[in-house]
Amino acid sequence: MTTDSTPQVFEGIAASPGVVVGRVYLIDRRRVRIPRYHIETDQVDYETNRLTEAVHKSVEQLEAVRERFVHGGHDHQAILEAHEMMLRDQALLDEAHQIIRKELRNAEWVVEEVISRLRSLFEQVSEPYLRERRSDIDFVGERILRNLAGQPTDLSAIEPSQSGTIVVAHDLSPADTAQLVRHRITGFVTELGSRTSHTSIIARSLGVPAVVGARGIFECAGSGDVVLIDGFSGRATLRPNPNERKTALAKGSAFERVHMDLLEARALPATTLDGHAIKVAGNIEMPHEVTDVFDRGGTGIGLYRTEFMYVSRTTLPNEEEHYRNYCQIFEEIGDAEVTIRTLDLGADKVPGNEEGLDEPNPALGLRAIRYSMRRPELFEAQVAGLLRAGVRGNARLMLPMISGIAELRRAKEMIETVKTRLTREKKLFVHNLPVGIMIEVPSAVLVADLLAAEVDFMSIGSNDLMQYLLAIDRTNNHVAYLYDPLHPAMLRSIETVMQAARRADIEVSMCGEMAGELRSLPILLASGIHQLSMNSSSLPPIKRLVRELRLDDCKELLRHCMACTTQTEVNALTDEFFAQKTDDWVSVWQPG
Amino acid sequence: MSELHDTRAAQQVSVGNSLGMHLRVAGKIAQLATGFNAEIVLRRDSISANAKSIMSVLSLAAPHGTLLNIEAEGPDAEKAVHALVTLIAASTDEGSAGTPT
Repeated sequence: MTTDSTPQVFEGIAASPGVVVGRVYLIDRRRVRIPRYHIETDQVDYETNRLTEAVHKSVEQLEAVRERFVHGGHDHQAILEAHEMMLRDQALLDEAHQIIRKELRNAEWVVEEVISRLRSLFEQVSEPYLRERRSDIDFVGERILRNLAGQPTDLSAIEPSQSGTIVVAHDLSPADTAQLVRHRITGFVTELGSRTSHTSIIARSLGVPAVVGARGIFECAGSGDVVLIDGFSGRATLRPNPNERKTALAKGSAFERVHMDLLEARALPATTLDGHAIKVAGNIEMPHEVTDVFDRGGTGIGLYRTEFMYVSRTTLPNEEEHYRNYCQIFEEIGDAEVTIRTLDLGADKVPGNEEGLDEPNPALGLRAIRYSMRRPELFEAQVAGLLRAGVRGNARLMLPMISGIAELRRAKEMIETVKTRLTREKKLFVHNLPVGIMIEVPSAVLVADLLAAEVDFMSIGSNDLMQYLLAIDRTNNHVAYLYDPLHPAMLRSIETVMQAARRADIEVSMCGEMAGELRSLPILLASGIHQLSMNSSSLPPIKRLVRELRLDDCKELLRHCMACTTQTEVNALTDEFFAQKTDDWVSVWQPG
Repeated sequence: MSELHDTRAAQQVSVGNSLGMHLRVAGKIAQLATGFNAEIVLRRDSISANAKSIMSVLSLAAPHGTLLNIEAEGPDAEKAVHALVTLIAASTDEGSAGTPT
């Protein structure tokens, strides 16, 4: 065997799920060569006309693509339209003409400069979604440059191969993808891109597997090569061997079947075989994610992180902004319950922070509720906005990182202060907004009985609680092996919190990753937890597993697990339980 | 006598779209602004943008919550500012299915 036939693996980002094998179709969209030269004064008109012409051509080409692609979805149409607008932008053309005239440089050179200046503005943006938009500017610029150079701009000659065509490219523009979807493309691999780039969005909407950010593949792939893409793990393999193909494809089709089944059943209730019901809700970061949660069978929002309102800006959100934001959530969510967590950021991430705050250990530092107390005006603006919006919806207020009763009382006093002010200002607000706390600091577990007596609900933040409980940074490879939600210390913590809640007759949720893991579900059901809140993609599998379990079996498992001395024993019992009590789909969905 | 051509208007607004002023939002802003006679400038800190140019608006790269000053000068300045405030403060753009997940 020659080295040419050895498989080559490229790790990238899982952009769209599924597994597929096909033949590579290479699309070379790397930058066109850009000639740079100075021109004579009498060539200025020729040069500006050349540019105007190239821009006109570009607009026409995009129009043609868009018209041929009328069924491609509203979103894609809108992106192409926006690209047309960018091309038609008079300010841009005027600026380029002016530079040509003043500096006597050729059109390509000037276009390149204007485009790179625009794109550099986007490089500095911290939001991935906005930063990704620099590629829109590149695509538009590249089209003009190709037209100036008289090089072909469009993909017309794709021959759909019998075994399925997989497009391998450095990067694909929205116009490229629009044209590609008319052919029978079975997958995409690109070197650039993220989960929010156009290729990913389009691949997901077409339901074809895609891997983006697979650096190096473009140089190594040849047209016609066999390629395997695994859109679950974000891996592309050139020249896979038969075994790899078989395994990956089997995994893909098994996953696909389970996925379809899960989605079909998403609206069924989360009730065990013996009639025990549990609430399943979604965690969201932005208001528009509410739709995802409902689409996947969630019945409420168990954690609305409000941090996006604070990051990447120079000023703090005021009461009105908070008010509008929460009203928006209520508009989308109707009567369903939404638990809104107050600011949970470290001091370093909040705008307008005082200088010189240098924390050696931010995880144990000035963050979340501690920071809110340091800057009451910030906390009070959020609380006031929420209290006022609360008359329009079914909200709960959740305080992060509470470590003990004094802190809780202080926060509640601050809430009362806000109520007094709102009354004085004769503003409408909700008087009996439920106030609860996150249980994520070990001390809060130890005094859970005291806390439970003074709150309306509690929510276990399993990620932080694990981290603080076992003193492990899960992103640190040297200690990550200790991270195990089934650790006896974690089980005991949950038990302690549940006991305290039962005595105080209040509800408990869990909103960390553990809440969305199938493996932890039997134990959480047995603990009597009232609500599990998770990322929306975990909702369908969690709901299905709830329906296939018996609470009595889970309770027996928990009883045995509580008697274990190590997490190894707990895991062995859990493995045994899953082998006996659950169907095959569980291991397909969550292998290992 | 009122001198119509000399009207000025200005107002501050916070970007309402949760994804910030991305491509489609910028496109709508430029489209709307082009319909007015007034000269319209959007200011973010020290950067200013011509509201009628999608490229210029995009180059503000303004995430959700950014405070922008809208300044207009011309016969329909007030109308223009009012219309732009409404658009920029809006939290959704219809057809935003292509949001990241």
